[in-house]
Amino acid sequence: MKPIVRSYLTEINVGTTQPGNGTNINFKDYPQLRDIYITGFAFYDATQVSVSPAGKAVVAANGLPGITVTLLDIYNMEIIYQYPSYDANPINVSGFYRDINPFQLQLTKSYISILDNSNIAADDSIIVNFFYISLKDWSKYSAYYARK
Amino acid sequence: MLGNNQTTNKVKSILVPINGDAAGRYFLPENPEIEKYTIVGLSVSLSAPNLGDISRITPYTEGNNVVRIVRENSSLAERSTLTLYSKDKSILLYNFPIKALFNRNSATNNRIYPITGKISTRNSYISISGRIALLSGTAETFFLNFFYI
Repeated sequence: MKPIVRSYLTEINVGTTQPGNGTNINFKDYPQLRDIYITGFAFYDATQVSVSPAGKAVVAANGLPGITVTLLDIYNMEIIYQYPSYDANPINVSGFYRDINPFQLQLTKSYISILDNSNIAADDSIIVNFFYISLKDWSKYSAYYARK
Repeated sequence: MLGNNQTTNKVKSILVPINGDAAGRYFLPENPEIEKYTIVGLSVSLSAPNLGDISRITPYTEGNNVVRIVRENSSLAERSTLTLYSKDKSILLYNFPIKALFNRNSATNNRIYPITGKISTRNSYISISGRIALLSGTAETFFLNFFYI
């Protein structure tokens, strides 16, 4: 695992009705996450956080296998495409978070996909932790992520 | 590849008492000692006797009062997130799930998150979403472990 310089918890609420299979839901705009290099991410389920910071129920542990995430860079390239969210929960992978080769994230075009809605209820929230370095700090920390 | 994290055997802990059942922010006590060092890892101790972790301690600052550590399987642990500010007043961690920082279980192999930076304790807080039930109405205390170099 690489050092975590900054971390920000985001939340996607599935809405007031149960989402259908094949639904894509975009991330909201978080000013803190504009102009950043993403260095890693982690999903969590209700066994770690039962109520989100916004007061919503968090998706259950058996709901994560039905969700994937797609992350785009500022050139609209799908750098991470349909990554299984279950695999991004550290408790499922021996405590590791998934660190990635950094790229400039475009969060508002990034999204999660519901592939199996059977364990996802209406008004559930999916919470995703982003690890990042802001653009202005990149030169200071980029050595951490240099290819060896 | 194993990454390039720092190795350290130095750790300092901060106790954050939660003495009400209301949702809201509970600020960390100011700790100038920890602020001097670069943090390279962060974990939380929760009361989990079956896993061999501590359940009660008598911290020096509390005299002879025994404080009760937050239980692993409690709504308090599952509704709490940690926000840490860095020395330059920017946000280092925003709403990091506290229970995810608990590493003493077989699933996480005692791995800790390699959080890196210098923190400002007086601006940092634990945020609780929704009302929580404290054990027997007594205060429970979060036990944060900061690994530093």
